[in-house]
Amino acid sequence: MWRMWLIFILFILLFFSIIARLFYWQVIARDRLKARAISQYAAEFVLPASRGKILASDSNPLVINQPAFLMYAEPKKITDIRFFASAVAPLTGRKPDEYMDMLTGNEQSWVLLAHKVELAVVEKLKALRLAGLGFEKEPKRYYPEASMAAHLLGFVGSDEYGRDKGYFGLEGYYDRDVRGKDGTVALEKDAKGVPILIGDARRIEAEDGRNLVLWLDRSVQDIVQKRLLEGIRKYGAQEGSVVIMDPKTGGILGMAHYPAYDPGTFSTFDKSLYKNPIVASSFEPGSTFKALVMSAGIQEKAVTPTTVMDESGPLQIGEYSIRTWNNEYHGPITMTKILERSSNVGMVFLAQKLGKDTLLQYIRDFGFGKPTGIDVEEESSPALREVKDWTQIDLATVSFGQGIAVTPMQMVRAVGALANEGWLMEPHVVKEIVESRGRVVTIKPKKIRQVISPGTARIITEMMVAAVDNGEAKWAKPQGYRIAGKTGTAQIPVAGHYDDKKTIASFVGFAPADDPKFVMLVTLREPTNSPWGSETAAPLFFTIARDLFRYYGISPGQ
Amino acid sequence: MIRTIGKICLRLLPVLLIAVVLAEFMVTNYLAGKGREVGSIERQIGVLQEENERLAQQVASASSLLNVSARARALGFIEPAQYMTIIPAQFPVALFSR
Repeated sequence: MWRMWLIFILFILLFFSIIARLFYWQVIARDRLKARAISQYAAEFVLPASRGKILASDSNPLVINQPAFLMYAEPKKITDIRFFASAVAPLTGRKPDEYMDMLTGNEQSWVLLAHKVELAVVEKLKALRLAGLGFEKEPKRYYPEASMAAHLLGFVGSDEYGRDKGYFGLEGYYDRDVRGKDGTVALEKDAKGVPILIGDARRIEAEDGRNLVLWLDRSVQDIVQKRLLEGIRKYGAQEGSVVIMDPKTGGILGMAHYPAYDPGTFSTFDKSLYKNPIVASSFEPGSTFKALVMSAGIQEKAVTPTTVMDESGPLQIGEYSIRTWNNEYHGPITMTKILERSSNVGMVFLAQKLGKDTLLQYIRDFGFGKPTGIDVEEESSPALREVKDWTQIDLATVSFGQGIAVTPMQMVRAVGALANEGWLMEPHVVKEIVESRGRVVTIKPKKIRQVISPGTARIITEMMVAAVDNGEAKWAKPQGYRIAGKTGTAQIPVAGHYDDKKTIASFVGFAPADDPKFVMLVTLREPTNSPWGSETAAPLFFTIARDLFRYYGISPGQ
Repeated sequence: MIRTIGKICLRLLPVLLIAVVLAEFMVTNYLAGKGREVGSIERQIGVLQEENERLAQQVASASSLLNVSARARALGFIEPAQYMTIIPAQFPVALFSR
């Protein structure tokens, strides 16, 4: 009887072991075994998607793709590693020892040697016919205009999985759009790996990335970059930036900052250069801010261009004394003259007439304290203090642009509202997105709010025209043109106090004043020839404006 | 008569069957062989795409402002030192006559 039980138990155990084995094969090891089975009769290839192009407003490319390859080695197929390394190294600009270290004693069947090797190099390497050396397609970005608009474009690096990823600028902001979606093709194959036509086949087409068409004009950008570089050298500045916007649409026509970097070789540059200071760094706008405060005063009917105030001497606010920039005082002067002479004392008079709440509301309405919404990745905005934290001296200094931090982008957009009948626009770099199947998505200009009325805009425009025609920078102005503008010279705050010798010189304005084609901001950091905006940033502004008049075919008096 | 035709058909049936099977073998073999051609066409597509990208790169490079300005300089073009703008009020001749 016990024998029967023994055989019975043995059968039960065998039965359970078969069940357990089947469970292992069909449930636990299912995916692995399925993949192995599929690999024996099917071949799967990735159909890589091409990254979208970035085109200037004339549809000429600023960024396209060029053929490049991932270079790998199969150590088991290499007979002489030393010969292999010494043959590959000179063509790839590396030392043979580096390849020796990678390959010697390496048991792996596949070793990555280099990313994005250019086609010319690959062709030379292929001609060597080295066993164990292979290549896979890995397109690379190509910049026909070299480093043009580098800060605006951003660059393409790798993510944690080694895949292409856009960083900063447009490449970062529109990464999902321009990246596209890889496709796959799975085919049944024969023993030699040749596809079987009548076998099963699955094909998911790759969806190429979308192309971006910008507002940016190549010629404007070229003018801006060339003149900015000349200006920085001429005035001995540490840094400089220029941004040009169409005030009616918010389209960015040109934008440059120096020092810059080359997106094609970004890794060789200091990382601190990657962020675009025009949207990511702040400065105290100084007297350029006066035009905005003045427009608020006129809109609120607190003053008119002919309102007179007595500029008899420094103004005392608590323990602080407010002086004019040259410590000269002119007695009774009009609001127009206050702007022409850039009088700090006059602006404090205006701020006091407006009152704290109204002035701060206008500052917010002009878009300060919040990002502008421009379509580049790294935009940030300095925060505005709470209303309760503003003291009388803060109110006084903000009227002439000190004690408030803004980005150059915020500043040019706010002045753009004066040039656009009071309408504040959302700035945009991209005008159209072209999908891989040809559908065009147009990004329409976006009005944010009307800060001042068209009537006020006309009045402040005339005051700014007078500030250019009669101000400190009138000597540099192109003759015959009506340009509305304002100079600015702001001291740089260092460790809680202002450095007397270090300034940010700036000039903001638009032209032609009666039908503005562009609004432009020029800033120069720490110019050494002269600290004043009227002697550095303003002449640079007028030089660029002169080039733009010629480019747009705008004649004097038009 | 009908019986005779039936007998002939029955005799021909295996022959037809063999012919159909042979035909299927041949077609299958032919299509399987075409897989090689498909592979070759895929490779050709890859080569042409690569060539296309390379040509696009050359066109972009040749039409870049960098290249155009460099070639203009090489041909002896220079930037004008000053400009003259003539506005309608300054025209030396009448634009319209009555």
